[in-house]
Amino acid sequence: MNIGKPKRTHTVEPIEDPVPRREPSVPERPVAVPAPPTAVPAK
Amino acid sequence: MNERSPDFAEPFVGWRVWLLSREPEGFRLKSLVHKVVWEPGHPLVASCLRRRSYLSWVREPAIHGAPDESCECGIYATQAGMLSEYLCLGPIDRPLACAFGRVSLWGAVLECERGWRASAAYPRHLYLPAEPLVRHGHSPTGIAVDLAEYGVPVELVERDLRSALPELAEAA
Repeated sequence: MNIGKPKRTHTVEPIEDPVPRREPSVPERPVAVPAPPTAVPAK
Repeated sequence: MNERSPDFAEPFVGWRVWLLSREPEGFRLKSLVHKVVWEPGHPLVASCLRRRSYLSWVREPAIHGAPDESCECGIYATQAGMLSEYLCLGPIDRPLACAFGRVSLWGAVLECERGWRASAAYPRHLYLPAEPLVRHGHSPTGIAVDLAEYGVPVELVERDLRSALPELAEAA
């Protein structure tokens, strides 16, 4: 790619990252099987 | 305080052409000259890959950062008006099809007469010319899905590139 002669160098520090951040994938939690009800002694 | 404050707080944006490379993970962007694969989610960071003959290596042993004014290293981008030259002249008609689009440039950015050479870059907006891909037996939609891994917009260009490019550049 012929872009011609160099002219000057700039320092560029973007405030926002130019690399898009991926949304973190939320790992699916296994559905907890509810514990069977325990008998509560009657008062 | 010795640290120099940056000249710009937003990336430069240029245009460039990429090769499309079939990697184990799917199609990826690859630089035209040095065949470096651009990894999704990671900036491409330049280093000087200039090949030196033995004699020039002896004369020029110093390692320098990229881009360097005295070298030709760095990640290249040009102005939209210059891009059509590359799209029409060659790479797009090669069996290994090309993508083109806008690229963010940052770090050390060497401004040149008709473009830039940078130390860091990442695609910003990708365009896939559909017709050459179909002609060479590729599925444009399938490649677009692979390129979506870069997390930037990917557009299929169905029209003739000579007429489409000026409009794309103006809309950018």
